[in-house]
This record gives sequence, C-alpha cells and structure tokens, in this order.
Amino acid sequence: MNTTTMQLTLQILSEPNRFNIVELLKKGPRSVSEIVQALKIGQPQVSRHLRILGEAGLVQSRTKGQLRIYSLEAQPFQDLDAWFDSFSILWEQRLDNFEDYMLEIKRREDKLP
Amino acid sequence: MRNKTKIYKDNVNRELTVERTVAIPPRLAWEGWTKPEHIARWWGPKNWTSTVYEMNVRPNGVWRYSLRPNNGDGEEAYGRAVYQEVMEPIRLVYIDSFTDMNWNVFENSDMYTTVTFDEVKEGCKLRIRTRFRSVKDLNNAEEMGMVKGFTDAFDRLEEYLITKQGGIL
Repeated sequence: MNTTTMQLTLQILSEPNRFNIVELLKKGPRSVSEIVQALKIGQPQVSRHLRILGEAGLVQSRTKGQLRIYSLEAQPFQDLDAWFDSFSILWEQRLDNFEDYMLEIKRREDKLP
Repeated sequence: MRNKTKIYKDNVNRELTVERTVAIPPRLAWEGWTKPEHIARWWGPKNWTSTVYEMNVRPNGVWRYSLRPNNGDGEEAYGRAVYQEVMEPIRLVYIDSFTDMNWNVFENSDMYTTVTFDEVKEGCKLRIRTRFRSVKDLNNAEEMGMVKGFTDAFDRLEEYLITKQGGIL
C-alpha cells in the first residue's frame, strides 16, 4: 500500500459514521438493519456509507435469505497497519541518524575555545 | 535499531507520534532540523543520500529534497515541504508531500507534521506528530471540527499515558 492509497483509506474512514460502522464490523458481520440499530441513524444514510465503503474495497457483502450481511475486508486494514509500521521504522532510523550526527556536532562544538 | 524512540498511534490511526530524547540542547536540535548542511546528513535512511534543493525556514517557505539509495537499488524519492509555523527553537510545523521528479505533488500524500523541541534535564525531547490527511480537508469547516476532535482525542490519550506511566511519558 502506498501513501496515496493509505491516505484515501484514512480519508474515507474519517467520516464518523463510517468509522463507527467499521468499529462495529470489527466485532463480526452485521446485517444492514443491525447496523442501523447500532448507529441510530436512518437506513438511507447507512446504505450510502456502506456503498462508499464497498467502493473503497473496505467492506464486502453477501445475501443470507432476505438479509444483506456486511463484513470487513481484511487486506486493507492489514495494509494500513503495515504502512504505519514501516513509517514508524523510518522515523526510528531517522532519529538514530539524527542522534549519531548531532552528538558528533556537539562534540566538535564543545572542543572549540 | 536502538529502541529509544517511543511511538504512539492514535485511536483512529490518523496520527502517528514519535518521541526521542537526545543529549544536546534544544538550540542545537533546532539547527539540526533547519540548516540544509545538517539535514542532508540525517534525513535519509542509512546508505541513502539526501540532497537539499531549497530550504527556506519561514512561514510558507519551501523545503525541497530528494532521497536516493547509494547502491542504486531503488528509485529516487522526492519531497516538497511547506513550513506553516516557525517558532525558534520550540516548534516547527510543516506539510510534507511526495512529488514526482518535476516537483509535482502527488495528491493525498500530505503529511501535516509538528515537531516540538522540549528542554529536559537530559537534553532535548523531540516530539514529531504526523497527521495523515490532505490539505484541502483542513479547509473544510466540518473537517476543522473533526481535526479538533482528533487533537482532543490525542490530548486525552496523552493524559492517559502520563497517568499510566506515573508522570513519565
């Protein structure tokens, strides 16, 4: 996952209702009516958010009789975690470099009269 | 890696904060971040060369740089940052974006970055907070409310961490 894809994922997740839908689906698959009940917003809104999440590849759905059941796609969230981890590692390396280099600068400064 | 860097992810994964205390005065740490001859020496990963093309450390000033692996095994990466706040030697705020080789910014690659330099007994505590969101979001009134929400959430997280660790972050 590159930065742009990650940014877009985060942007989609930043809307509070979509964030709450994802938090709910982390607990397991849910039907549309279960999501409506949990979020306490109207069904048209829920459906719109689910459509956006689906288009972004963050959720999938299947029918179970007359119900449509939504669940999270695992990959994008794993990708997101992996991206954050690699970004953290970049900063660790960078700050190691910063410390090494700046301590050397300080040593040189301290030697001057 | 030394494991001396503390890393905090916020609850909604829209902010990443890294902290490191270095045994140098804040004034020197500030110079390390704001002088082209210094930054080129530590900004890139080990065995990469960092080149600074432009660095104007003032509000709306631009910093352009590239990162290239020394062994040639990988593509050169280009970055363009615009400073927002420059409060020497306490706080530096900039928006860092990836660009192509012609310095065209890749959409949605903005990283809103705040660097603070705290004087502590051991030297300087650096804290780098990166917010992953595109700049145009920040101009939207609704988003501003959400930005404040995230900042508030971060403050609460920070409070929780301070309490949990007995006053030592």
